[in-house]
Amino acid sequence: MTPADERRRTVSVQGLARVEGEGSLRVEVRDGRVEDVELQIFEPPRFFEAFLRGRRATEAPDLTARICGICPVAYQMSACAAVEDALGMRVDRGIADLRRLLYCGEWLQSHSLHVHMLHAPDFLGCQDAVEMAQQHRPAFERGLALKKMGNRIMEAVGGRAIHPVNVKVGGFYRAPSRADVAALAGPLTDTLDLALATVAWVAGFDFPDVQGDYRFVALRDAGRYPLESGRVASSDGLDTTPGGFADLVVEEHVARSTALHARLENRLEYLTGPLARYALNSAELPDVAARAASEAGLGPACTNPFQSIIVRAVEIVFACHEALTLVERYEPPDPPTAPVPSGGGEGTGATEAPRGLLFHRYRIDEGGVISAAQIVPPTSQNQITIESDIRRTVQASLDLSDDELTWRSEQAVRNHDPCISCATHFLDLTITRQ
Amino acid sequence: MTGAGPPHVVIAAVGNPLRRDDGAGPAVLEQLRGELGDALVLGALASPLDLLGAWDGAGLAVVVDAVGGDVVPGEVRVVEVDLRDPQGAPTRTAATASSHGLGVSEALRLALALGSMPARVVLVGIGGDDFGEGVGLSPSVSAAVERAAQVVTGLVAEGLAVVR
Repeated sequence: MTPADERRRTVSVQGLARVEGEGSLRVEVRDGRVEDVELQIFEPPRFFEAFLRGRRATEAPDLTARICGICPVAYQMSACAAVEDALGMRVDRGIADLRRLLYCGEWLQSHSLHVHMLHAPDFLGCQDAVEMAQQHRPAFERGLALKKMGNRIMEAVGGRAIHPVNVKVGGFYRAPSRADVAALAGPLTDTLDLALATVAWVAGFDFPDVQGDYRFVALRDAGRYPLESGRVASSDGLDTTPGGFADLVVEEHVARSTALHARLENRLEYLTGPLARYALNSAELPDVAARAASEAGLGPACTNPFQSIIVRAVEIVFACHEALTLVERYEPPDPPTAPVPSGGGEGTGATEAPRGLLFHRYRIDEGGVISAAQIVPPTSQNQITIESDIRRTVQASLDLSDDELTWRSEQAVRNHDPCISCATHFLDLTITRQ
Repeated sequence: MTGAGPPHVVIAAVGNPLRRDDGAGPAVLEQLRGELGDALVLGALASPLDLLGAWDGAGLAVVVDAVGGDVVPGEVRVVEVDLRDPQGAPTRTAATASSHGLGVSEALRLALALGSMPARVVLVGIGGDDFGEGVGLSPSVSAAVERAAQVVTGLVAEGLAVVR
């Protein structure tokens, strides 16, 4: 077919029903113009907000960790930060460092899975991870090794590789021994080399020339790349506390989707995640990561969404280096947790999940029980911008065949690693022409 | 496991105990805690992807998992995986309870692609009924845990006997 001849094209990607993740994509093109884009995502946090009411605030980290098997630490960290903010708690540097180390483990797990097994196939023409493993075995094995390093950190600090059990409001149930943490140093040194090889590998991919006009939002954390704490900043000058930011976010229900769409006041859309973190914090990267970024051709900011795979790879380098630094100066915090005061209050916590800013807000009554909860995951915040990306990408790619256009549209979704990204690898496609 | 070489027998369970019957595999391993001799017990994996690397070079790998499809609830089905074409292995795994995970079937295909498949892979499937949110197994699945544990014990003894 010659797509340009068609007056009207519909690109429709129907999702297979899944227990936790369900997404679909529909794009309408009429007379050579993209008329409508709908990305539909099923969002589990909505249910969690309801059932958190009536539970003890100290249960929030373990309960919300179950929202996602890929980023449970992000949910635990944001939950702890919100409860501690509500109760006026502060944790010692040693506890904060241990949280940061745990978070590095999660970034390694999540980013290496996405870069090597979910995103790279898009650039290499592979249908899935199995084809990747067959055709690009060394790179695939490098991804497995990086993910395994993330598992080791999670096991050492969190007690197990998935859904860590050692995190609590105020800190940790038990501080890992000095020897257990020191044992991570050697493997981390080797892993850092693998991470650098990954940056060089993805930098060699062919990228469509698409530039986004993004309003970036990410944490900024006084002289270091953000993970588990910081103020919320934006590329157009916002600088506020997590609570101040939560006040600015308006969530709206859209009839066609079960997901809430988040905007800033005045209906401004925005983007969180690696591109945003990098744009607002690239000057804070350690030398080894900054050098890798520069050699990969990145400037101080990157606005080509397809190149998010390079930024993610640079963040893998950062996570390895940061973890190594934290391991080398580790002293078990004693006690491993701050005392949790009685009473209530209202508080907000924001941390950087692998795929973007995740904030929790709780109201806690005087008995220590949650009376209201709000959980805003990165995918919900990014959804409108992802739709804008798809619109821009499809508009610039109308000369492609239907198959190619669908592939390119799915890529535009996966660029942002939303919580449906692996579902979109297994979607059925129908194209209707009128 | 003793010795520096690759493990001869590896055993793993896949499943999420917070998805009711999806926790059947971990329940079987819990039942067998401390009773599997020299086998390398990987424990309950949240992601079958973690099988890769851990089972490389093994003579026998036993994977215990809840299954759906045509397997009736409470049925214990033992499947000898066709190592040339592991596609047909019936599983209901973390992949269907997670938006990101890969299933046992994908892990097997990846192992084939990477040339790291153990010499023999046996899936011990337990038919599940309820994969909704919550803890606790359905009565029929709970009753099957003991039978599945006996099957696993037999397979492990057989596998370890090869190296004795």
